[in-house]
Amino acid sequence: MQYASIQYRDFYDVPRMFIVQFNGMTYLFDCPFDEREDEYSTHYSVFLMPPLDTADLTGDWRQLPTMAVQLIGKVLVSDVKFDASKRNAISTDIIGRLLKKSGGD
Amino acid sequence: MKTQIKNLLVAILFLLILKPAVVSAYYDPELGRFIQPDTVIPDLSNPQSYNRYSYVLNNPLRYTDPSGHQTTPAEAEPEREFEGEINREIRESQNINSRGEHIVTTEQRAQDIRELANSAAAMRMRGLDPNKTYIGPLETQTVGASAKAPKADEAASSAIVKFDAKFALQQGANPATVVPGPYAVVRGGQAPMPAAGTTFSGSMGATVPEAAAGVPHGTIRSTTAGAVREQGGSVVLAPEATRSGAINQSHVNVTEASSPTVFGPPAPNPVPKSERVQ
Repeated sequence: MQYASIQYRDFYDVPRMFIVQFNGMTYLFDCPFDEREDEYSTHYSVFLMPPLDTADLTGDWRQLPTMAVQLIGKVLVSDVKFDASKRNAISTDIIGRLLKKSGGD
Repeated sequence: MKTQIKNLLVAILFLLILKPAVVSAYYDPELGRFIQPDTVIPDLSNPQSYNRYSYVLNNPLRYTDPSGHQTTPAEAEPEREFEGEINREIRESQNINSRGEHIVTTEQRAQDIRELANSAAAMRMRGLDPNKTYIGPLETQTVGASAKAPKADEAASSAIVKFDAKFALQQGANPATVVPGPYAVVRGGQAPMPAAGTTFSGSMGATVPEAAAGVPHGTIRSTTAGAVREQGGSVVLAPEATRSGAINQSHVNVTEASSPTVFGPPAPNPVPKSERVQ
């Protein structure tokens, strides 16, 4: 199983928003808090992002989804496999499966 | 016989009068650490002073501490003691220049700031003002939740705090990450509690509302850090960045050791949505 390092924000049980690089592309996983359900979403929305610079990643991340090139799809939070710390890396299998499903691979 | 009794009395008097002045913090040789924090912050302008588990600002080459409370410069060593290539290498590895002065590198400064932030956070958790100097054991000066509790509860809380500190050191953890026993811990949401043995997120505070402000949920379940630990679980302070980039200082990692949970039933979050973590 291959892992790719992540940068994250909004940790609650797992990172609720994180950036990961895979095959030279940058992806944003976003699991926002659902006010109506009073709980975090059960899914991550996965976005293909343009190249992000340091200023983008050190500032406010709430606007990152609006910068996305496209929405690739959604994955269950429970389907994303993190490293033991849940803060450093994810298994890249989920990205591969998502790209295959969306026909983007 | 009379002389022996006299000597014994003198020895007892010596111990009674002098021991409290000499022993300021107990040192655990197995851990290689002090197991009690220094009871005094001698120099508020020096970030190293806020680490009350360190000895002489972590610079024993330059300082001594005969009283146990006040770091004092060691007698000047002759310059010749620093001569020679090996000694120069030792000096450089310890960031000490040829005059025996401690050189603060950028990396060390960053570490000092991290330690200061941790210690200040730890003092705030205990309801203490990080900008003040306290005389006496910090555990007995815990205010906030425990200050309003009956004396018996205070004693129990103090015992938990002391246990926490000892436990944290045994585990090699930073004592500043240990949440005091009387502090409130909340879990956001109405979902069933995670299974025993699972580490999950929560929020801590001196009061339930203070803790509840650290979760976005409109429903919370609450307990205390002491209750989780009595059950054999753990509550560890773990500040995390929010989406905006602000740091949620009240985020904790909670692990319950067994079921049923010690968290209470779901209840409305007393903190308005606009004042909760975003």
